[in-house]
Amino acid sequence: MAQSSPGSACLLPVSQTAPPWADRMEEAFDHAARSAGGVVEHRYRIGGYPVHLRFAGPALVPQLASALSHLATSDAEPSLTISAWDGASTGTSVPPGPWNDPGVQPGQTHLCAGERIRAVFYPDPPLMSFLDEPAGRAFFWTTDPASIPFYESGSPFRPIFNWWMSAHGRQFAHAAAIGTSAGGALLVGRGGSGKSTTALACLEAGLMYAGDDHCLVSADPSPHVYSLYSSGKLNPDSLARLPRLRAAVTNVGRLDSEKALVFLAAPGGGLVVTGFPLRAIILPQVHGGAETEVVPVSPAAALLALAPSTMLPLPRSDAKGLNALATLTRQLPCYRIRLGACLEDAPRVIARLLSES
Amino acid sequence: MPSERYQVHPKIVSEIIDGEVIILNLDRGRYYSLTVAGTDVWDAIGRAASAEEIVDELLGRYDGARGEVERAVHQLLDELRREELILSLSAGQAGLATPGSGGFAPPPGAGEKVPFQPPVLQAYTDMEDLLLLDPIHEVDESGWPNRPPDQPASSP
Repeated sequence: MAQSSPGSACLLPVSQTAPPWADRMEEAFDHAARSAGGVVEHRYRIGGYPVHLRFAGPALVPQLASALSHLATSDAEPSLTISAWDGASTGTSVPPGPWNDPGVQPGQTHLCAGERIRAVFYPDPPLMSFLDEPAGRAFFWTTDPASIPFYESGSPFRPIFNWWMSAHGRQFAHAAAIGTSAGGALLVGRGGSGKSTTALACLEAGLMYAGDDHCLVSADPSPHVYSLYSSGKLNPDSLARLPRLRAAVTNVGRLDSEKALVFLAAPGGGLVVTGFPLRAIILPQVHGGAETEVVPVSPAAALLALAPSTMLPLPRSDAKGLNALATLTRQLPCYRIRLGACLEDAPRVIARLLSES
Repeated sequence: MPSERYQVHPKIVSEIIDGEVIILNLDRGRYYSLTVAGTDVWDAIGRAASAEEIVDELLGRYDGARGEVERAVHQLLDELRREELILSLSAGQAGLATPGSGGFAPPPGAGEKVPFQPPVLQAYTDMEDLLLLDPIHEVDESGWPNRPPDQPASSP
């Protein structure tokens, strides 16, 4: 049931039908592309699926393609196509939505949900994500590339990937993923638990890295993680403990208000892997004692650390997503790593745990 | 008068895992956990049980006085309703509901009841601020502004 809202009052009567919203999105993108001098296309393999990213002109490419570069592919036929444009460089706005209705309160986030169409509009800064799942087409629009926040650059298209991937056997997870040739682990916990710092410390120590904040997971036929973003985000304290990453920080001038954003996929690859089998789930806990140690925890504790921070921030999460995450916590041994004062101990302890799992 | 029955609120998602329930209120940004007897209560609500049936099932599993168990069950049900995690089934819905049947399976190898401890609903609100969605618009297959066929016209 739709919530009562001014937007609901502007839906057309059943007797009238407007052209499909997705077709209007497509027309707007085509207009934007013509205005910007053409389409810039990037191809990726994400979660095992070919995904094409089409930009209307080059303006959004640095902001939205950098975090995906490690997944580049030459696959020809996409399962999902995302078309992205901005108002500033193309002079093309997004087709009207309920967020344009007269009387709508400014500053609200709007979600549109149907069996076929999903869309979310964030007001500040204006960002719209739209998915026509059966047709495998999605759209992203913003007013100005310069207004895209660092967290969006580090983790672009999250609503689209969450909606589409969950319909195709891949569950979005708020987790870091690190591993060895024996397999890897998800690091799970809410913001500030030490996931990113631990993951990047593991990367520095030579472990495989598949992400520090978001990834895709599946349990069928066996637990597996798929890298989604090559970015890493660090608070100032953590950046001070990982000085070799300082040179890779892309938002140096804004560290007073933003986490340090790094992109770890060097040209030619190497630092970030596309994924690996999962052997464990680990809950980091900053402890600060002399030793770094691992203790078993229950699947319920792992699910409590993983599910809320995955599902609550994402629009239109559902029971299927919770069940997918719960399946993983049932299938994998779960541990808490009590992080001691020496950050370099964590990769060694994790590598030993993975070799024994 | 038939006993009031309960059901999980349609907007709630939950998972029973390893004897514990994880509950998410996706609309309010809150999440919760229940353990031991609380898990049993939640499981019974999932079977549309009444308060009396829940009390009887708990007394079959736990060692406690009926009065103590009744107070604890009613207190938990009140709290679950306040948090909008459960609903009372209407009289019409109750007639269609399958009453909780079979009760809880005894723990493996357990011939003795364990002492009853009043269940505690652990609530977490640390992520409430992340939830910014308002309002939510239902759209039909072709998308906004086409109204879903079963949605009545709203008053301006």
